[in-house]
Order: sequence, then C-alpha cells, then structure tokens
Amino acid sequence: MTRNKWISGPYLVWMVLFIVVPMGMVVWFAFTDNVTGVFTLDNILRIGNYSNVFVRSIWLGALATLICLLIGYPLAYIISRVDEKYQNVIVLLIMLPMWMNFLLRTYAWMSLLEDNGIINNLLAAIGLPRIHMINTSGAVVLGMVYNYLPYMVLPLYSVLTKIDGSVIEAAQDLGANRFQVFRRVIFPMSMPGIISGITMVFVPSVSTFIISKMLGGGGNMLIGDLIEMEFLGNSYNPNLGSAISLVLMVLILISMGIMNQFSDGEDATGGVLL
Amino acid sequence: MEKEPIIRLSGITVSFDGEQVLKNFDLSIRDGEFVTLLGPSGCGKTTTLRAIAGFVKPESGDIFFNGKNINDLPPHKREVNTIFQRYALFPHLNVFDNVAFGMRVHGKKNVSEKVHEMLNLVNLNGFAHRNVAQLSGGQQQRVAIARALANDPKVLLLDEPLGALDLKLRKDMQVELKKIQQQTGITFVFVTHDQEEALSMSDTVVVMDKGVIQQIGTPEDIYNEPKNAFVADFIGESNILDGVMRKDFVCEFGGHRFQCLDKGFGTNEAVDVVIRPEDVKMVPPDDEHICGTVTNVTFLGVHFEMIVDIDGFKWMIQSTEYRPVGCRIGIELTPDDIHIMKKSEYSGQFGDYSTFSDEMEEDMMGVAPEPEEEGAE
Repeated sequence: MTRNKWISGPYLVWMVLFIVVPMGMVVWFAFTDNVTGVFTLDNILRIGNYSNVFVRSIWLGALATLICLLIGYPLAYIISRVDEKYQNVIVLLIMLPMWMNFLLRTYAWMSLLEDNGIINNLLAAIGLPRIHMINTSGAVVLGMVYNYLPYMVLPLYSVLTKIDGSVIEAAQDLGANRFQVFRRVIFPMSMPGIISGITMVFVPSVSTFIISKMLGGGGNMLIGDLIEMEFLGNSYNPNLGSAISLVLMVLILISMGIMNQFSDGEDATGGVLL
Repeated sequence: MEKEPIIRLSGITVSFDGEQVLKNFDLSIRDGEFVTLLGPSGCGKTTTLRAIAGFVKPESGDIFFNGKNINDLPPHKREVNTIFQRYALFPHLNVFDNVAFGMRVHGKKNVSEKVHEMLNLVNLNGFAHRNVAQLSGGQQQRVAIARALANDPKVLLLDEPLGALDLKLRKDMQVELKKIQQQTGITFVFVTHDQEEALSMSDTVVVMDKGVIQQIGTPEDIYNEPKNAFVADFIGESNILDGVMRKDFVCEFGGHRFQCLDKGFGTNEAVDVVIRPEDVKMVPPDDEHICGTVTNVTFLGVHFEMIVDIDGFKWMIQSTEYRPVGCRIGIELTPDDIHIMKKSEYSGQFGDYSTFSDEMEEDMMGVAPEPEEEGAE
C-alpha cells in the first residue's frame, strides 16, 4: 500500500503547484483590494453590475447544452446500434473536427457566417435575400454546439453501448413496447452518460470567451469575455476578475451538484470517456 | 378428446449465417407440463425458446399459442415470459421495481400487493428495497423468477437458469422451481445441457442435437429406452456395443448370446446394444461370460468406476465392489440390463471409454502423452 501511495507523488506535487496554489491565489485576489491589498468584499459586491452577463452566459450555455443533447442522444443511440465494425469509424468521424485547431474551426465559422461570407454569397447567387448571422447570440450558440458536440456524443455513446441487449429483451419480454423500453430502461440506464455529457458541454460553454468574441461581436459578451477584459483589457483589475472567476466556479459547482441529484452516486463515473 | 396444446411448433426452420440451427422442427407442449429441452451447446434448444418468446423469427414453419398462430406477434404481446441465462435484471431498479416492471408496463392495479406475494413465493421477503447488484447469484435468480411470474404468464420459458449457480444452490433451486411450477400450474419450458437436471425436474424431456429432436419422452423412458446412441450417451454413462439380433428376444455381442426384452428387429439385423455401467454384475471369469481386465479404477464415493478392457473395447462398470487394476473379471448380464437400439447416424461415435482411460494410464505411468489424435474413436 505505501508503495502505491508514492506512485501518486508526482501528480500530488503537480496538483499543489498548479491547481491548489493558483486556486488559493484566485480566492486571495477576489477578497482583496486591487490598490491597497486589504481584505474587502467590494469585488464580490461589484459583480452585481454584471448580472446581465451572467444571465446571458448561463442562458446561452444552457441552450447550447440542450441542443447538443437533442442532437447527440439520437446520434449516440444510432451509433451504439449499428454493426460493431462500423462503430469505431463513426466515432472517429465525430472526433475528426477536434483534431483541428479550435481557433481555426471558429475562424472558419466566421467566414461562413459573415454578411459577405460564404453562406450569404451562396444565398445571393441563387437569388435569396441575405441573412444577418454573424455577431448574433444564435451564432454564439452555433459555435458552442459545433465545438462541444463531441463531448456530448462520446459519453452517451459509451454508456449506451454498455447496455446489455438481454436487459432490453427482458423488458420486451415483460410486455414493454418500443417506447416503454426506451422510457423505462434505455433512458434511465443512460442517465450517467447524460449527466457527464451535460457537464462536459455546459462548463466550457458557460466559460468560453473565444466563441463569443469571434462569432458574437461586442453585443454578446459572456463571463469569459468579462474575465479576459479584467486581466488583459483596458479595465485591468485582476481582483475583480478573480472575484468573477470565483463566482463562476461556485455557480458551476452548484449546477453540477444539482445534476448529480439525478443520477445514482456510484454510477456518476460511468460516462466519462476521453 | 385431445386438448389443443398450449404451444405447438410446426415445421420450424431457423438459420444463422446460412447454417441451419433448427431443421423442420415440430413440438407440442401441453398446458401445465414441465418440459425440458436437453442437448449439447449448439443443438438449437435456446433458439427454440427464443422462437417461442418471439426474439427469433423462423424462416419457415408456424408457432401456435392456444391454437392461434403467433408468428407475427412481437415479443411484448406474447403471453409467455422468459427467465434469461444471466437473469438480465434491470440494474437501475431495485428488487421491488424489477418485479413490478411488467405490471407497471401493463398499467395494472395493486402492484405492491402482487410484488410482495411474488417475493414471498420465491422466499425474498424483506428484500424489496435492495439494490439488485448487491444480491447473490441465487437471489438474483429468484428476483428474475418473481419478475417473470408477476406477469401471470401462461408459459414460463427458462433458459439455462441454473447454469451460473454452484452445485448445492442448483439442487435447492431445482427443488424450488419444481415446487413453484406445481403450485402455480404454469407450463414450464426449461432449457438445459445438464441431463441430471432434466431427469429430476421434468414431466417430459426433449433430447435435441443438431437442430433435430432425437427423442421425446418421460425421464424414465429416455433413460431406460434411449432411441439411439446419441441419446444413450448424452443421458448418463453408457457402454454401446455392436450387436446382432438373432431373432426376437435373442441378441449376440461380445461373442456371446444373450436373452433380451426387445423384439421387432429383422433376423440378423445389426444393432447398437446399450449396457448401463451400473447394471453390470461382476463374476469370476469363465467361458460362460464375457471376460476382461480392469485397467483403471476411480473411487467416486458412492461406487467405484472401473474401466475394463474387453477384447480391446473399454467398458465402464460402476460397482460398490472393488477390483484392482489388472484383475480379470467376468461380466454377468440379465435380460433387463440389455437395451437394443436400431443403428443410426450416431452408431460407432459413442460408447467406448478407451480414449479416456489411455490418457489416465499414460499419466499414471509417467509417460508423456502422445499428441492427441482427432477422432480417435
């Protein structure tokens, strides 16, 4: 046993240096004044001014997560039901966009969605009116869905493939029709995958800043953009930025806590792939 | 007036990947019967069960339930329930909800009452709120039984339900299943490859091989009057010898003539002769009897199991009397001990115990066994 403990040593050092210490610094900054360095709740209280940004972030993040779930669940279900030799190929295809640089992917969407972009030029060419797409919240959600969909599909797929066919047969045998089999067996059994998929899409969506910056323009500022601004922008104030980060972290922890209420504690690890 | 059987399979053929698993299969099951489909793996017994449950669609042939053709009825509409090999309990539901599943799907009333009645039937009172993953194999098995019975099926299909249990638990569950069957009066169709299980539980045993029924009968019939060498070998141990029927009630094998109880064969017709190891009586060797040399003795508790070399053919003899290796013995048979079967495609494949005993001899003498020869029989 003692030997096993030592094996985790390098990671413990890493964790302390790069996770615990920075986290402590975030908390420290959040509760101190940016000029005098004395304890203050001022930073936290000032976040109230940005409540619209918080609401927008959570709303767009939740919307993107819901769309990912609605697209991802049927997709994952279909993949889990096709012949096993094709499953790996399809999963590979879903992973494929993730091999490309995140920025590049988002830039590509920019040039697609711009007022004089590829889509609008195509529309014009066939005589249809141009549509304003870039710099809308719709474009931001699209960017989130596009970038994070694989994180929804993969945990769902891994849970769905693990459902034993004989359990489904047992349900049919006991009189369940296709709808009942899904509602009473497949769906509840895939709950751990749904939870982990939602977590893996919602968390990066809420805290993203690149997507909103590139596809949302100035009018769709998210929490991520706000934090970036406080650290790198004109209104340089790392103490306020830390406070916002802290509140975001707490919000995410709360929402994950709520999510976990829906799944049995011990199954919660079932879905995470990657 | 013969009552319409509750299940009738007529001319069922099923193939997987071009290989026929069931060949023009006919079977009738009477209401309230305990029927066992018995055979080696791959004989089509599970496929038969799945065809009745609706999970396998036959290419040709018809399945009747109470006289009604149910070929196109999906599994969830059939009035049969299955107990699966690995139980297939719902892991996300507790014991109560597992048992209640069928009733809830059907929108039935008084679920709680019935669930507790079922749990009582399988001796699982007080387990209602346990997680199924925390149950032992035998308990999971009982939950599966309660879950299936809670639906009030007309027929219960059991697919090797005791295969995963240890020996003692198997015996207990055999008794319990038989008891439940008698209490409820439900028709049981039981699939197993364990001949002892089949003999001890069933009203009717259906012996299958290669997708074809080899014999149907009561356990006693199957054991005492096997139809061919396959059945004789599969149900218990058998010495199967080449013999000739000289006339009715007289047969000849091993260089001697014997009185027997069989008739209706042609004069001098070649036949298979079955001698059960426990029927053989050992006597001092003389010219009156078939004689041989003991080559191997195994103590099995109840009796000794001896391999006896008789002119190159190795017999198995079970006796409470001990004879050492190398001892020469005579064999006495009464007409009752001799069972005559017609020659079949299985003749010559079974019934000699030489491969088994050769290996034993070599091991005991410390000689490395020669590379195994395929099809040495």
